[in-house]
Amino acid sequence: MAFRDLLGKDFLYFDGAMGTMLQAAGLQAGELPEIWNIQHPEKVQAVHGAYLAAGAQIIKTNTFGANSLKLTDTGVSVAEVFQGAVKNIRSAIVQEKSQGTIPCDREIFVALDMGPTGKLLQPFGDLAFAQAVEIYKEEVQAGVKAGADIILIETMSDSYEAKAAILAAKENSQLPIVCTFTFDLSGKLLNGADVETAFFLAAALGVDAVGFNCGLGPEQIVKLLPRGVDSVDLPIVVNPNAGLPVVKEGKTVFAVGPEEYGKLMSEVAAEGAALLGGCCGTTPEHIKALCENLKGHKPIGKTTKAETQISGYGSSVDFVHMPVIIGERINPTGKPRLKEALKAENMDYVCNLALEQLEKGASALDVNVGVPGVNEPALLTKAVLALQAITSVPLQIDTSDYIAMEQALRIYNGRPLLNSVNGKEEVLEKVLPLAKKYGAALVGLCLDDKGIPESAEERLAIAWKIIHRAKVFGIKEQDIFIDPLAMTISTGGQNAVVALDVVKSLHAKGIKTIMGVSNISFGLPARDQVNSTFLAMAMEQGLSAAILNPKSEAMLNAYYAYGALSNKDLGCKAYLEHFAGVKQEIKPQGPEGEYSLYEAIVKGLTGHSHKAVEKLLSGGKKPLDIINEDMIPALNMVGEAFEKKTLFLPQLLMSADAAKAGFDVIKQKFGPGKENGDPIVLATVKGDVHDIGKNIVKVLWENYGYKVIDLGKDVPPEKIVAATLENKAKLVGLSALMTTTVTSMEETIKQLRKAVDCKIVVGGAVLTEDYAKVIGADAYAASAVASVNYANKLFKK
Amino acid sequence: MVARYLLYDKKEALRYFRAKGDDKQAENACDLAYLKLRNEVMPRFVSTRLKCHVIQCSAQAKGKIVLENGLEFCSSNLAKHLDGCTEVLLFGATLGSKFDVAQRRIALEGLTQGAAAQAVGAALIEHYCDTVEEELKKDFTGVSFRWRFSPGYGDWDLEEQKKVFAILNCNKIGLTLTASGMMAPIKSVTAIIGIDYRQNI
Repeated sequence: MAFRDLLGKDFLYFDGAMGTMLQAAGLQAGELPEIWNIQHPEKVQAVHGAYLAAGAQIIKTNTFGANSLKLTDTGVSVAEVFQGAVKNIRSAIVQEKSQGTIPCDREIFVALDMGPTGKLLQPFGDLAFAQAVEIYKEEVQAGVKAGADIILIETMSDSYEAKAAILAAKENSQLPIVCTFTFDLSGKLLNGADVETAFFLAAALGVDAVGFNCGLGPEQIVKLLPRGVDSVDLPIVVNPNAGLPVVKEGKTVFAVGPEEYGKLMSEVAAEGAALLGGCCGTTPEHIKALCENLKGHKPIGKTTKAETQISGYGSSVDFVHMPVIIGERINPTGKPRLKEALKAENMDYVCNLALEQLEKGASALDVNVGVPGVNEPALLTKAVLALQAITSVPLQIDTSDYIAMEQALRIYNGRPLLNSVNGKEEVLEKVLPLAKKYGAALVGLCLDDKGIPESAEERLAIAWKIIHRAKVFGIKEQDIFIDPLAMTISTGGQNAVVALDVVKSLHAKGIKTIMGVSNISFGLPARDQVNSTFLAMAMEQGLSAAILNPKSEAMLNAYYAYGALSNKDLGCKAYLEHFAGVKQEIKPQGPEGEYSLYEAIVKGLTGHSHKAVEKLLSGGKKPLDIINEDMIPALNMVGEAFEKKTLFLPQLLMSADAAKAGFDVIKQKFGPGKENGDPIVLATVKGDVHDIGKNIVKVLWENYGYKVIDLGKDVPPEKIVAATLENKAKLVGLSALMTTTVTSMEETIKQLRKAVDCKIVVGGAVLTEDYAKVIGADAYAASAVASVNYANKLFKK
Repeated sequence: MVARYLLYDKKEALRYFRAKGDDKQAENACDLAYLKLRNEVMPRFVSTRLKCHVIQCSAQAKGKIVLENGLEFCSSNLAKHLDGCTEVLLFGATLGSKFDVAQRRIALEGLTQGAAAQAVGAALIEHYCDTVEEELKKDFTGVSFRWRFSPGYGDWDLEEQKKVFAILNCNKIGLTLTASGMMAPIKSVTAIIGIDYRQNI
């Protein structure tokens, strides 16, 4: 029988530990066990043989760390290791069957085993998502060619890396995929994802079974197991360690013996696991005890259906109780400042929009960067990467550009909502396969080639068409959110009623709905009043998610009040948190009273600086005079005091923040007209991700009116050269914080010297005046203030 | 291993923030950063214990620590520091990658908050290392320890971090090394502690 046919119907038994067995056979610490496939095949085969004899049916190839990163410098290729590893299992099977230790007709499956790469993915480490997929692709291709039967992705402690491995497996084979994660005692991965989030993501990406391995013993995993069983409709795997590790005289040992292990694993089976085996510290005796205890039993299966969810990096949102608020603000339609920011690829602006909405209570964020004339695929990817670097809430990827859609879905860290598909043939054909492949939940709009129908019946017809077509592609009903499309009531009196009818009718059939609420009042005065009442009406009809502006107080008031009245907000918990101030906002406290702009900057009072500039402007003072007569003298005073050490870093930073707040007021009122300052290119060099010092220099330079082209951190030399040429910058600032990255600073200087005539100022903890000269810089700035002084001297300010 | 409790040592945070004197605004900034960071840390550590042989520097060569598994750490400062030790504890500790996300988020608020978060993070990981040290030292009686020493201190080249990673199973706690030799997550520490078994020194 094929693996997929047996899944969940009969217990399937994995083997146990390989590493600890090989150590017992003489593997030295620091030696790669994977190399033994080739150097000592007989010893590896002996371990496989012992597990087969014990009753294991799924034998893992000895390839846990056999990726191109770990095999570098070993002289052995990934393909060779997998070839040897699969052959070792096949030989062991032949031998055990011929010796009669196992029945000839027993189904045995060779599992192509892939562990973590050993690197953290960007932005946490330096491994790009695409690179991670490539690494796993090489393993999958090698394992498939060598003749593996299934793919096992195991010991995953980062759901993002698991996604890379699953995609590589799907794209390069047809084999069944099993994915197991390693949780801590509280049921968290190292990236903070909980059992539900990790399992659901793997399931959405299309694995055949999901589960637990390593980290914990059966006694601990059995407590987490119900959460896993409830979160997905897939067979569950449990491959624990032989208990929690105990350190004895500096060595790690596992304390649970075979007999106890067998008993504990029976409990694991009783809680719903269908595939069982072992990990670190387990032996063939452990597996034997497990198999004997479960002889004659069948997996219990499950009756309840798992609820759908969407997730970000480690946190998920479901749709069981209150409707989910999705922040609508990251969408350039009607927002000229966001348009400008997107054209300039200013991701800080986008991230700040995200933070504002999260603070106000959004549980997910819509991301739309569709500005005419931009490279939307590149920009959307950039925005998604920037947002998932600063928050773990789920994102709703919102685009009609299919290339942008696929790229964003691919690098997204979690399970997104995809906005959107509709009833148009072409769109269905393009979007549904993407949603399926990347496991996205899907928004379906009630429109088709003929436009948006007037009546609820016609919109429902489109909704059902989408649902049925999605089913053909393997997308479940529960993963679809229908948007009835709220049209403004200013152009049609029936518009709200029609949209609400669609919500009501779909809710009655168990279909989820989503709606951009604000559009209902387009063209009307007092829009908040209409919007908030409409939101309450839609919630009453069963709306599952609302796309709205969380900064609208009326909207949130209606949301929480409705929740309390409808008893969807159990115990009025959210209501109380919102209105009774239980959820205290953390805000800096500043002194009361009125301060001049000069004082506000010197004292580092951001709020007062903001107010003071507004006051000066309303009094008729010209922006340029404010800058030259109030701000620059204040910054000079602070800078001098810092140099004289009568004032310290925190005060310098607060003053810089206060000055920046003042500039922001001017910029907001008069537009970004300061772009004509002298250009300076600024970057933290390649390999270095420290950017606090660089950011301080940036703000100070900007405060002094320079146009700073900030290339960010970890910037390759070529990019710095190109930006310097392009902007005709006469000054380049470079930062490096580590001895290991000063070499890349030196390389950058070398390349700049060859290509451009410019001055170079360097800074960073490990540098000194002398060292800066040695690597060829023009100047060394011991502090941010020194870098300002250097620039002012150079540009004769 | 997961810590049970992580203390916020405000004085330490202010020191990393380079605040001087009685700076209420700086204190406030650190407190705010701490409140936003405290639920974002998942501290963990791995450790091991190795016998060693310390060779002091000579006119010809740097000092070195020869470990029982054959690996060597090359540093005259470290050799001097571990003079008389016959065994070492080696550990890696991290606050986890969620901290990185939170720190980036806080940095968006402005320079002050960004730098305060960085300072609070530094104080938290150092305090965590103190608790790790305490935990590891529990197994011993009648020995003396040297204070912890990390790659990058003195003449111990940061390049040698690779050797530390080759010994410790850092992957287990999600601690990795980038191609340029930096640790990720950002708030992480590796360190060596010398054990001196001689009595009455």
